[in-house]
Amino acid sequence: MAKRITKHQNFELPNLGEEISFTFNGKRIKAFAGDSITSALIASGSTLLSRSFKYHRPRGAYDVFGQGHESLVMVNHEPNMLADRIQVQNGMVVKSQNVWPSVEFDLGEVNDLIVPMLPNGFYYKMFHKPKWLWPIAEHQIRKVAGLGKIDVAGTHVHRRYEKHYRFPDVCVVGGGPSGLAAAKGALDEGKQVLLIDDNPQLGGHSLHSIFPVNNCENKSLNGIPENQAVQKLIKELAQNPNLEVMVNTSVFGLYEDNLVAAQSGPDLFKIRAESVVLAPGATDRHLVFENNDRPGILTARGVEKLIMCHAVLPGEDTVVVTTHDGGFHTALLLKGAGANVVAVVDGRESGSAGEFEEQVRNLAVPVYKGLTVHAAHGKKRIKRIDIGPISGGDSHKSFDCDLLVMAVGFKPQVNLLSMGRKRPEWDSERQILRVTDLPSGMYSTGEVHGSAGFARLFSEGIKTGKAAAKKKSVESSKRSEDELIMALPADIESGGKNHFICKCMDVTRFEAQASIEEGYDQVESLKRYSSMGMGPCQGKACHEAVARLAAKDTGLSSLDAVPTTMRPPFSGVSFGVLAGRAPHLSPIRRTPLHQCHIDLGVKFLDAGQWKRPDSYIDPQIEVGYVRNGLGMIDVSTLGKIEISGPDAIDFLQFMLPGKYGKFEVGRTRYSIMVGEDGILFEDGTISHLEQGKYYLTTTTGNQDAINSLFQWWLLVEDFDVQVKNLSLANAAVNVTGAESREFLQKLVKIDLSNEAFPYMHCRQTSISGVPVSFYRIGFTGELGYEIHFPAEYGESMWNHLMTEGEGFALNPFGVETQRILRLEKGHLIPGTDSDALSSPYETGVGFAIKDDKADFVGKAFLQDFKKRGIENKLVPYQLEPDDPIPDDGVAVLEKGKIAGRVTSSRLSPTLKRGIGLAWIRNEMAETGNNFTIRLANGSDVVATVLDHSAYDPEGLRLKS
Amino acid sequence: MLKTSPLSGIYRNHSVKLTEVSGWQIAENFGNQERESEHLKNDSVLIDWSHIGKISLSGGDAPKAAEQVFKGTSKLEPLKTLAKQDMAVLCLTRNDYLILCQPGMETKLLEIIDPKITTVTDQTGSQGCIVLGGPRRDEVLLRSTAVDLRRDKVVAGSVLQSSIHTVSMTLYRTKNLDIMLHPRNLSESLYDALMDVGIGLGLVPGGIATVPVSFEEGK
Repeated sequence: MAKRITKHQNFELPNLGEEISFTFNGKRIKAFAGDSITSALIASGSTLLSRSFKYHRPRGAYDVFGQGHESLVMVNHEPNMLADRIQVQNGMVVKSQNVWPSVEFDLGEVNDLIVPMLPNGFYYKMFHKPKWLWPIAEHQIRKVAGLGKIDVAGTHVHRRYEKHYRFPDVCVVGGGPSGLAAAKGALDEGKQVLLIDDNPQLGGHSLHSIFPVNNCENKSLNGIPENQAVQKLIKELAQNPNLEVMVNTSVFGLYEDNLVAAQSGPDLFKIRAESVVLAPGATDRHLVFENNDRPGILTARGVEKLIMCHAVLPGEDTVVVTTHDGGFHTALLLKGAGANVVAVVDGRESGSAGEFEEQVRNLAVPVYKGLTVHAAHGKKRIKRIDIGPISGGDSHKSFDCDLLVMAVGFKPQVNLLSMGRKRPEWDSERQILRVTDLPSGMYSTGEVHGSAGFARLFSEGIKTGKAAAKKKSVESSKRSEDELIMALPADIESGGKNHFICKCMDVTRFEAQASIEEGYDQVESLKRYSSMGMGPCQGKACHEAVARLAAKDTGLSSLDAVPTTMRPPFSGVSFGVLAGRAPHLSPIRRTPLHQCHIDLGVKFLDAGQWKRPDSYIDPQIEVGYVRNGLGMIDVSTLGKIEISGPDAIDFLQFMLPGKYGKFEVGRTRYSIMVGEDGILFEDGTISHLEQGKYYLTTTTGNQDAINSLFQWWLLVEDFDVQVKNLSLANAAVNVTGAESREFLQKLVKIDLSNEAFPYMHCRQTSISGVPVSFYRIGFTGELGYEIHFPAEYGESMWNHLMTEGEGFALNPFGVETQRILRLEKGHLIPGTDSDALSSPYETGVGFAIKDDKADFVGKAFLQDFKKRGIENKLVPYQLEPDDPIPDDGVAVLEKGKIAGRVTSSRLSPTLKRGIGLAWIRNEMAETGNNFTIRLANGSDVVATVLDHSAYDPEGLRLKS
Repeated sequence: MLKTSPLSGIYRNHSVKLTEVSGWQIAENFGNQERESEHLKNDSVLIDWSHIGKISLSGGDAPKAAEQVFKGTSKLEPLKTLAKQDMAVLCLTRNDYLILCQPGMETKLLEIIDPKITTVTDQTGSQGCIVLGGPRRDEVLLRSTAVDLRRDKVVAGSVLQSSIHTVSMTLYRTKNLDIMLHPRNLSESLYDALMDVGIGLGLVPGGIATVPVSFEEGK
């Protein structure tokens, strides 16, 4: 029976702080402030923390460091929290996950009986016939799979995800003795050091070690136990102002150029370091044997931590299974805490006894050599274990016990050293998987290269820290013979079918062998088929066992034992941490008139990053404002580029397919742009403002691209031209409608009459002292003036125009309204009505190309397009009144086959019928022809091809 | 007509006291100047300097044009600056300069610079300008950019083209301020993101009465 201890024979117990309480599955648990959830639960006698993923087998604490899945619980409505790492708080609500009705009695445990009777990988093979069965089965499988339940609605969980950046000279990952020494080494070189550890306290395994420190190069640490030495070292480092320490912080990924990704609670840290030292240490090796997943089986370092850091004795009658003196160290700590150590089972046949073995033997604890554990018995808690030869076979002896301590060597935490770059390799001498070849600027030290004493870890850590600070190479780690720990066979083959290789995913050796027999005989395919190593711990616990057993069962030597690729994330990361918060990643572009639109109760439209007015009331009504009176739209998002200089006209001739030789001051022209491939990608207007000064407008989406394109051509061609991107410097509105002239004439001194300022002309003037330029163009199909002015006057100008326009019933309209207006007029929008294959001739803008001029961008391809002729054509069309309106993008059919597509489609409030633009085959494109549009609901509607626009085909209104 | 800051939408959410400077309507304070001064002393403050004059010189003989307004600037190395009380000249590349000046002063400077020798663009209205002041402003920046802006790396008097909260900008660092010049249309987003990370770091918005426009402390 587990219990809290109040004294220990070998060291002074820590102060656990004030007494508090929390609930676990509704039951009140007493704890101390210094407890983790796991330690408090064990102390209270709670054996079961969770149930396994597939078979719902009972699971209790195992390694106590949060490496495995066993301690995943729901804390205050947040799922998948590691009970091993979370410090208890008064009033905390902790629950087991995926159990029903309770963790003690879980109906899901029926899987433990049924699933073994099903064929291996049954979910790949069953439920596929009849066809309708799989969706149902998949739904059910998905329902029972997964761990925990996220509070999607955010009813209980309110998290603020923060993103931080750090730029240390040296980043040390791991705060055990090696990491601390590495930090010291780098600090001694005067570097800024960031030291990260995923536990609440620095010190690593030394915090719970009473091994005496000897022969350490830091003389002041000699002669005292490791737990005191490491505390002394921590105190010394804490005084250094160049050190930043982050505890409770998990490094989950390492990327190019020493980018270290770490999370601490809801905070993401992106750390870019000059050098990175990895000192992740090692954990107790995972041994596979019959019922190796039962509650009551704990790792040696886990038990030591419970005793020394939390004053908890996790069991009464104890058996320690070991292969090194560390197991005897644990046995001594258990004995000192008052446990009945029934036996120490040492897999080693011979060899000199270590310091702690002698002490344990002196306490009359029975020691069995050359043997190991064969099987555990008991369901919700072990009651008995069998021991026998390490080669398996028959068991020799059984012991009644409630705690089995596993001290069968250490498994280096190589994941961070590997991270998709290099797979670990089996080191036959050290009997571990290692990664020795790291990218430049990355270093490793400590138990990740094999178990060693404090003095060696310290000295190698110091050397590595100094090398990292100087960016020099460091000599490879060394281990003496007495530091090497033999590796037991990964599976003790003693019979039975419950030898769990991967406890997260409930995969047994039996299943792995069956998968290999089915042909999945490569470690990668075996992993994918059986799902070994794909659970919450991502192979941290089992990758070594998986590699070794896969090698063995496929007839390979231990040297060929290669684990599957280890990739980030090394530890669980929530999507919230990765995503952060919206303002940081999705900037919103606002026009200078943004606030004015808000004041008018606008509905915004997202156009890329821009917020544009979609409409203020109903677009169908807004169309009426423009057609019958006066409307105004914010067109500030247009690209605006000023081109001037001696070669300006030559540059335009080269960049644009039109002719500009006779382009007089005060004129405006429609222009298209094509790429070097002749494909249409842009249209806009170009105006000759002053002698030698031109003003080009582009669509919203292309403003930066066109400016960059101009700048690029100016680098490669010899034009004496100045190009100014005024897209942000100028705001713009389009005032349009039959009354626009009369309205604007009141505000400016220039003559706006049709004779003085005709269609497709431009003028410069001022409104209330603000310099403005007027462009008489007609995207809406009505008389209209585009007015450009300095952006800083945006709000004032809009408000001024709205106020002055009151007598004319001036109304604002939005982009959706403009789309209807332009469609009534049959105007295309490049990118919406054209795509990356659209020839300008087929799109209907061939009139803007003058290919009889000297070389210009896209000329060769345009001539080729012209020769090829028209295959498909973009045409305006209309529907019959009351016909349903097709969605944008639906198909055009000819004899039941797809013959084109609709690019834009709207209901025209002016014409009271559907109108649009569609790509159809040229043979179908004759004016008056009918073609079929297939609606999204599967029904058809007949459209008629129009010659020109549906509204004012002669353009009388806009030229009036 | 008044010129409005790109942060005018933000002003509406605060009890801002507005003032008029060279035709600009700009925040004198955000309702409590004493508090802003306290934060400037102990924590961090975000100030809207959008109204300062900004002129870019690009291509041609930009160094010669820069020299026309501020002697010595033609010899500036890229990413270095020269400043006096009413003006700072930032050398972005060997042939690109950005001139910052007191509000309204840009009109006079535009008359001095010969537009025939370089492309001169008045960026006053197209660029927003947010300034961070106070001892904890480094912490705000540490949560805002993946660029190493440690003070021993980017010293006072430096200028760099960088990205903060994914907004591309020109960052000019003086001894006591970090001046961020950025596209006007992203001003409000940048403000939101900075204030968002500034929670817990004592970041408050402030007006020009708390940090008046001055470029004097260049180094």
